Amino acid sequence: MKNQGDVSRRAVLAGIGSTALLTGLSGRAQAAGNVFRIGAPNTITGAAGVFGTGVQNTIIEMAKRLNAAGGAGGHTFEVFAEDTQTLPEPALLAARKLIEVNEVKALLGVYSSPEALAIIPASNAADVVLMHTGAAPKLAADNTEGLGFQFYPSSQSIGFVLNQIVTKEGYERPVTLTLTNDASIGNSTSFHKYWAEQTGSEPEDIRYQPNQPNYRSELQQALLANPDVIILNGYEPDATIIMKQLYELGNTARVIAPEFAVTTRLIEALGPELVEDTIVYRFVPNSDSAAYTLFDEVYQAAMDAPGSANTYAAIAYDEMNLVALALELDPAISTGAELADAIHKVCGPDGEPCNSFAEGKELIAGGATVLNYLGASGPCDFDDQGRTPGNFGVSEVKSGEYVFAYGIVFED
Amino acid sequence: MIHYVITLLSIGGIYLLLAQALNLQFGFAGLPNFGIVGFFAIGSYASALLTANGNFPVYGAMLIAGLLAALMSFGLARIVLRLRTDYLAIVTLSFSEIVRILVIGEEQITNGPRGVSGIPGIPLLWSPGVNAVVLIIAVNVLVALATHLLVRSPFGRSIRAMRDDEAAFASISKSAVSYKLRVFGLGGFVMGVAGALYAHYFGYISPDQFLPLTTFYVWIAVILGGAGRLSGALIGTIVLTLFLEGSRFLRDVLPFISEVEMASVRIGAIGFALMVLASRRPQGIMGDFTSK
Amino acid sequence: MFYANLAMSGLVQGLLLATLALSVSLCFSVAKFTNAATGDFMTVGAYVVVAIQAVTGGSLMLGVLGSCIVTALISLLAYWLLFRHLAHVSPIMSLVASVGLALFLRSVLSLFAGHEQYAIDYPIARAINFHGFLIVPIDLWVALASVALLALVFAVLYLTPIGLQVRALADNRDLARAAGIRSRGVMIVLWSLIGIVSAVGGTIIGIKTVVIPDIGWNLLLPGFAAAILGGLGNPLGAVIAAILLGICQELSTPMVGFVYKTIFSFAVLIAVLIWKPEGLFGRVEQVR
Repeated sequence: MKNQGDVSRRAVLAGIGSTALLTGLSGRAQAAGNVFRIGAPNTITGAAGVFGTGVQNTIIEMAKRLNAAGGAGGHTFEVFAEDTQTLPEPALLAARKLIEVNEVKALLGVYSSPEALAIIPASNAADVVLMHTGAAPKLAADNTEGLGFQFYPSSQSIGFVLNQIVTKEGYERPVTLTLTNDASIGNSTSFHKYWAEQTGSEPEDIRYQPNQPNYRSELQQALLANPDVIILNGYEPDATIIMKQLYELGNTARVIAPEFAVTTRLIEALGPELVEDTIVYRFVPNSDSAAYTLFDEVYQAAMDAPGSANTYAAIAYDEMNLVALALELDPAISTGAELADAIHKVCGPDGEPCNSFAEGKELIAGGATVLNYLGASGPCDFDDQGRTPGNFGVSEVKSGEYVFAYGIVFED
Repeated sequence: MIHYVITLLSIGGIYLLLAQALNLQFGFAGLPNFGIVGFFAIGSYASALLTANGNFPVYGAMLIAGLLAALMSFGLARIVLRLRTDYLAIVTLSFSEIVRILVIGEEQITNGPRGVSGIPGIPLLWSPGVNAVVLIIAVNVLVALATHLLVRSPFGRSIRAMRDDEAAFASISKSAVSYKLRVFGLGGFVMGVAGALYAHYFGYISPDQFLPLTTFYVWIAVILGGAGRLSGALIGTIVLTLFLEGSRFLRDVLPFISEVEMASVRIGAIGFALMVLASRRPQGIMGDFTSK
Repeated sequence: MFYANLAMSGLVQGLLLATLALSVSLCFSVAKFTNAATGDFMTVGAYVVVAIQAVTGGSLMLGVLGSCIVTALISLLAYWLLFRHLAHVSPIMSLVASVGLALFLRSVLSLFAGHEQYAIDYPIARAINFHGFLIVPIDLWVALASVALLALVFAVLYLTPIGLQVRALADNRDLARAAGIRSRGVMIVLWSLIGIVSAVGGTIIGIKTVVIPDIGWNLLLPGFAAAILGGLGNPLGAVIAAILLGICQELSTPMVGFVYKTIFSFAVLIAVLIWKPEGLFGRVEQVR
């Protein structure tokens, strides 16, 4: 099979050899001064590709701003970014490379349970802090060194909140629309449990697959139960399609959805009429919090879009602030365990409340040893196993804007 | 650095097993299997479910995983082998999607999208401290040896003859279908074992890990290296892994490229390389069966 | 009425797949390989519409027209730079190369447009209710656009001299060559058609869903299934198979549920191929 365009084996191998040489030369980036290295293995491509870029750019933007403001505790930040493809094995490889080659002390913005579960044995062994949004219960059990921080509230607490909202608004015939993934199924299952305990009846649950062009049959089935409220457990892309098709099919029931599904981008794409009165919950007690406003500004700078488009970026923003506050509180931090300890001291729930790194820095300068950072994504309090309690804010969409209604605190 | 290299070897080793299996099926016997990830998933789930909640021995489970994948492979081959190659490619691709959706749907058995966790690691017979990478490499060597012996055997000569000219082969022997079935089954076995190794290595599996993209990566490795040569699968896998991982290091010296852009560039470069190789050097880096 | 609405839902689903299946089948009929980049051609089509809408301030008509031109050019370029060189190697190699092209196109899109979602602007309206039978206005337009597209493709294939050459080449390459048909002109017509079908198909899919780099790729497998069921290389068969598959898939949901509906087409595909290895409307080794 010799043809004119034939490339010889030697030429190909030579090309590969020189590429390998080039990559080998890069080695590890040496940096001078007191540099604190942060790893950002995020979901740039793959199933959660719509969130990863915002998360990563937020982390990079925050590092830039913190450095410009003089760093934290004498440290400046250096961010090493990677793509995890939303898959566990590239995530683990990225994490190992970040830990061993770039010598990072913390991994931020890790997205899913499979990724976090793949990484956590490696980060534990290497004494590296892992901040993630996985929801699997096993992540708490695997957090043997206390280095893991789980920023996504438990499915149980989300089910509790959904039940509270439905009860508070006086609805009687809820139906759940559930994307077939770990977190969404967990949320719906938990809601069903609470609802069954309270009313003795099991609401209808419609499971839908991602990446379908047409959800009309699913929605028809949901509407057949004549619901007065529809609980949507999914994400932005599928929620955009479903909200549109619900409207087209003449739905009049109210929809309850997380803010990372009914985003400002969704509202912009569909127009305010279609999402009017939708109930939106987020993991933050007060949507007008000072921290949120600050985050929104950072996200605008990083992504040229409103911060409400990406809850995971708000979480990444908080992760950076916690690391920075911990370093400010204890500038001598050199190990992951020390960093985790210091994060527990600045995250709350005890201590003086602060909404930003700047506020916290002032408090520390004034002699505070325990802080309570109140973040853009939530209160950012963590128990011994690194889990965050559910502390939610509920809004309604009015004329295309979120209007804060009330807060709900999870009680076990 | 050592843990990173070991991880790289382990994951690369699992992919290499898949590439070797495809090389056997496509490179030596001319059967385009695009359902690799399906057999990989069957092996993964079989071994994981057997061992996660019981005291079933891991090695036994891995063997059963391989046999189950081989059986499914054999069964699918029986159905589809009389189709022409284009149809065969698409049908096997569809099969892998069927497997994935069944895993999502059959929650009682597989725990659905929530995945299986708590899968025990690989116990090694001599020293518990040695990493799973030893076993993964050992299995690879074993498969390579077996393939080497197989292709030199009368059976191997027959499947190569069949690949090169099926019509002529059919005229002298009626056993083309039986050969194809056996090759498909053997490849399936290796894919199933690779899946089991994967499950025990990671300790957690979920349906999202078994998307068709994995299949395409394996194809890329085999085409890159050169189909129908033992060294082809190895070189292809090494080159692909070097490229995927090497581009991470490349970025450390090229700070003006963001990771967001690099993620696109990385996939784009693989796509580009695939196009160039397929159209200009279809026999791969090492040369394939046509350029011995 | 419940089942009538399901069938309606299936019809829309089928029309969405029909454009993809048509494109796959057109490519196979003459170029003789399964084109895995078909879905990504559609993604390109959808992004071009979004881009043109952003520039012109929301004109969907202009968007579709522009998209047809751009996508046809990209399709021609793909033929000229890539597939032309693969005419004499195994069709599996062409399939592998088309996977490469698919990855490449997607990476270029995500490099310039990012991974966030976009939307194609169109007036969203409530369904018209005929005693419980719901017709969504945009679905009517989708159906209309699909029919117009099919009419265009079949008019080119069956009513023009060049169409006759395309069909001749599809039927028997050697005979067609002997009769003096030059394949270059035929290929230009064919790949332009593929581009136009992709642009319109991509627009329809973008309207019904959201525009992200993976939309086309996600629909590729069901599109393949329809193309094969229709007998690869038989464009009309592909369209009919896609619509039948869509309707059967949605009608099956009360029995199999919404998770398994996504593999309905694959299961049907395997079942039919066991029974008829050449597909529903295919003839062995004699495809049109």
